[in-house]
Amino acid sequence: MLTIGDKQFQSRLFTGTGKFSNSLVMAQAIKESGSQLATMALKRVDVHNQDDDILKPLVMSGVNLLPNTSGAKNSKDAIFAAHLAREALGTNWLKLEIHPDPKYLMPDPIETLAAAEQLVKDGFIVLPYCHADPVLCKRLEEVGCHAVMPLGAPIGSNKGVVSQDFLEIIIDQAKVPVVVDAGIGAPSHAARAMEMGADAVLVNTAIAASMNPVAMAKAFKLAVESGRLAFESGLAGQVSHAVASSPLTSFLDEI
Amino acid sequence: MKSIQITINDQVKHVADKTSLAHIIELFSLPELGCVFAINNEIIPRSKWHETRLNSGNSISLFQAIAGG
Repeated sequence: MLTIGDKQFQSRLFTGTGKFSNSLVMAQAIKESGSQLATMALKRVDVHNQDDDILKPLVMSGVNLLPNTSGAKNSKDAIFAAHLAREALGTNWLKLEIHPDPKYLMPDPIETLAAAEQLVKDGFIVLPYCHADPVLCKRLEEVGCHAVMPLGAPIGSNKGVVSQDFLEIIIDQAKVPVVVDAGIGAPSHAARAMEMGADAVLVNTAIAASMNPVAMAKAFKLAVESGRLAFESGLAGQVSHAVASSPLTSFLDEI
Repeated sequence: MKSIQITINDQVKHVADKTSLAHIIELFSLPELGCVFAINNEIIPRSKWHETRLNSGNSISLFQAIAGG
């Protein structure tokens, strides 16, 4: 069982709600994924064009909501967005993300750390999206973040856990849960992150933009469970030469 | 009744003087679930929507939870 802040999670797969073709598919996919935590964003309402209502099906499904601060370009924006989200959704849980550059959406470490420190003081359960930087992750932990969410690869890139070597250091050092966020493009990537000892993964694009999001959500569910079980079972070590799996009895030599 | 000019997300609107924030939701068929108001960049808690009366020139921002990763 995974514990973050005041909540326990049976599922180690967190999901995003963006990029689905409609709210029905989104709700079905999240249900099939078994996820108990789903991210949301905030935007200014277009007074003339209302969006598809995605909140109702999510609230009905009972999934916990994790509002993000997407769109924030600095700590000031993020802190304002966090307070808006807390009021709008009635939760003090927050995915803190600050990425000023739209091309690569790399998280700004300096602004993120500053915002995290303030938001923890303001009573938020802060889960910061950050680079796979072991030093930064420790600093975020020290200011009171309840988990860290280092990236596997750029947001929406589906490249997998290209930051693997650094994620391993983060996982080794962390005293708070490590959630690998961003870049996970296939169930095998999610399984790999879980085998490494990540506490959870957050997946959005890989499910939402697949041909069959509902079935893909299930594939990720199974992969995350499989990867976690493998981690808990202790993977056999690697060596650079062959080690026979059958006993070398040499009985044919004796004929 | 006296009418005042306000802006909602930069759209100019005319409403009756001292209209409440809660009434704005009904007036313009805005979504209530997952919404939050700020007046002149100050967040107004939901519990104060009924008692918060608008004055001429108020700049209202209304934000809504949407899909996102």
